[in-house]
Amino acid sequence: MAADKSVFAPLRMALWLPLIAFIGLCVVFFASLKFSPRTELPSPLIDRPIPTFSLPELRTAAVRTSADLPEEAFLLNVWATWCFPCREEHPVLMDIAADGIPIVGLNYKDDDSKAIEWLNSIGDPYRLNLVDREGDFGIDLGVYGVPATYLIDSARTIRYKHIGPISRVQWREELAPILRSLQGNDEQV
Amino acid sequence: MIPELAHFFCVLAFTSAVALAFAGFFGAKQRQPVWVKAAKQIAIAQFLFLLCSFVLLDIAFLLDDFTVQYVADNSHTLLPWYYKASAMWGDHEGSFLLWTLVMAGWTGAVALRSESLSYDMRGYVLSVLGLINVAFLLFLLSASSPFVRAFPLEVTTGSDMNAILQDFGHLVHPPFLYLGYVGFSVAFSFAVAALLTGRIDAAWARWSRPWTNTAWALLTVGIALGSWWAYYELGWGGWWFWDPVENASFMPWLAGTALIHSLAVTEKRGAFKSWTVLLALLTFTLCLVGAFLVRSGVLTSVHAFAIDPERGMYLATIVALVACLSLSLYAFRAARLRSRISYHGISRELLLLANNVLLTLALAVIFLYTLYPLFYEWFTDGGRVSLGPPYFNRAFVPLMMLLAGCLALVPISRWKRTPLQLFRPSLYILGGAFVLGLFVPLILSGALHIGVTVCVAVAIWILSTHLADLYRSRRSLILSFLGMSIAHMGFAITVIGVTITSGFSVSQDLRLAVGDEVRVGDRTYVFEDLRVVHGPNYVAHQAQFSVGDVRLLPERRQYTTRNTVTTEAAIRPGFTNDLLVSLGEPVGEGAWAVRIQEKPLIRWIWLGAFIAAIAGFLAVFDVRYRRLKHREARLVQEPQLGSG
Repeated sequence: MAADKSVFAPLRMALWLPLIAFIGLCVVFFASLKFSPRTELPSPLIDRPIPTFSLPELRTAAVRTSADLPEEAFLLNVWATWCFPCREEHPVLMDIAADGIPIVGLNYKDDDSKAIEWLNSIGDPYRLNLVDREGDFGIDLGVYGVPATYLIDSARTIRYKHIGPISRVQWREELAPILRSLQGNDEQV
Repeated sequence: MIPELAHFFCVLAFTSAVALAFAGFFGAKQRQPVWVKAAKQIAIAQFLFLLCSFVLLDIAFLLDDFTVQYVADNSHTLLPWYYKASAMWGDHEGSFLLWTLVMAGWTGAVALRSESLSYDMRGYVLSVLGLINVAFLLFLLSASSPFVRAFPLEVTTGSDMNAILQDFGHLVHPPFLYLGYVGFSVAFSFAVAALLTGRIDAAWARWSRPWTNTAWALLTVGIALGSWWAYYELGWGGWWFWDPVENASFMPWLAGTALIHSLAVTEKRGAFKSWTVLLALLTFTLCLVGAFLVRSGVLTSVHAFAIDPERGMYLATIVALVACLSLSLYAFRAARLRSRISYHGISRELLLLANNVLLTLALAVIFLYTLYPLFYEWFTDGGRVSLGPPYFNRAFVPLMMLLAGCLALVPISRWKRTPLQLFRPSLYILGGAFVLGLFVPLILSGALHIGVTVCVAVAIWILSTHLADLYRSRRSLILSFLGMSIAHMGFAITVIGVTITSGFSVSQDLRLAVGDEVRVGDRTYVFEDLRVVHGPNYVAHQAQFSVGDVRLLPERRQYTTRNTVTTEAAIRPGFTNDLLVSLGEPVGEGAWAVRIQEKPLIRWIWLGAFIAAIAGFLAVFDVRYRRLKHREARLVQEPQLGSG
């Protein structure tokens, strides 16, 4: 019996492992509930300058840095061809671009040829399209889901983050006013 | 009056659940068979009460009773009656009522069909099932009641059902999914009862198996329906997105699949006992974790419910309680469950062990990837990431291929030890399958593709070893064996479908105007016409495409009440090839964004899943089970009554 016990002692300890693992998981669950609900996604990057980058341009593969970003306030839109909601968002972006507002695209974890085909077939709203194949820059930006859109002012500071596709209503009532105020600041300066 | 009655019946069901939990436990613990008998009646009453509650609330939907807040939020006068009825489970509150109804249904079924169990086992099982529903119903009544009236009353036509849910898929997918999810609570309570009584043996495994099989088969159907629905309703031809909600249903499926196999070893060989019990606990816990993830909003997803932190807190508490209590019980008691077993070399035990290891690994990978954003947020103080399908595929596909390889050897393997020469013919078959597999990509695309070759070869290998085995034992076929073979072949069919669809789908995004002709794959598509059509609660642009003599009518619907747009792809389904045209947005100058796709063998994905599900049901109806069940039941009952 004694020998039996010594053999099974480590095994008996192992029986506690599922419980311990689960308690760890519970901690994460409860902790994550403490964060505010997902609709208003706080970004630690708000009011910080856009992280530095050097990324290839989609069509030309030429390397671009933050110096190549538009001079005025603009939208940074994270998109991918595998992303279903991006399709819903696309016509809205086309309209925004038609109004003369610069949009910079960040093609996220995608295939270059598919991305180019997409833009050729349904229209290209982007003034500049950066490629983030591995998603590194996305991590710098705090990209949680695709699509995501950032409002960035002329000083290259991130002013607002929108998660999920932009609907026309959201554009009209949420983002456009903020963008207008950013442009307004510029004019005052 | 009707919603108040529904509410009242729901409260009655809650009190019955409390009574059930108590009566079952007391009867088993204090050796009072009368109480266990009473528990049976209470379980049936609980089901009937919830059924009344559910039907009454659904009547409120059919009658457009917009004085009920939940009805007003999720229905509309213009909906056809069948969508009104299914709008009931279109949002969190109603779907949770469905969930508790299904839970009560399983409890009632167990109460009715457990006459052959020893009374204490039966008492514990019913008590655990009752206790789980106590938690669910408490949650429903306190934090997410669908019965609340809307005050002040406004004259309204309802704010309509989510447009994507106005579909046949929504009629059938959630009920099947819940039947499967909740069905694993039976295996869970059997496991808890086994830990409490300390009895886990062949008879226990034999009782659990039909219930587990049924739940598994229903969950398989539920997931397959969900995938099929996503394919035609989301409109862009995808059939699996590795979305958190899909993963939430897929993780219990993987655990449940492992459980079915582990139960087989426990029954046939008396081994893997403690592991089987752990899997049973784990499977249902994962179902609850899934419910938490979907309903609390901690992960963002296409089909998450409305977000409410209080709800999330409550659900997290249920999950934590259920899992911590059962796992503590496991930690204390499982050491008693000792398996004595010996097997050598390649045996059926070894293959089943491999099955369990691979499925558990796949489960762990999906679990970590799904929750990765949560951990990331936690450790980086609010940082956010998401992992796309490539991550999942890279880890999941190789594991499944290894699993498929083991599966092909199953018909040849024997318990304890398999003489190696038995495997020789199957290796020749593998060689032949590999050559066949080489030709598949050559014929389909004119190029070699080693990934496709491997997957197809392994699938053919599975099919041929199983068919050969069925033929060999054709005179002595029993249902459970037949079920196992057919389920494995279903898996192989799904593998072929997934491989060919992923490898050889043609997809083109185009910009087309009426009158345009375009060549995609080997076919010419003509954009013949574009018109506006009116549905009961939507206006749609409908395009007319023709391919040969097939006419395809994709729509882009604008639902008027919620102002949402859905893409209704036009699909010409085919056993070998689906043609799919989806109409996107207008892109100016009369042109429209159109996606044209060909999806070879995509139907095989769901066909295989349905075959496997039917096979799961087949095994349940094995007569052999029932006869043995009675005999073993008595054997176990008598000598152990006094020892406890």
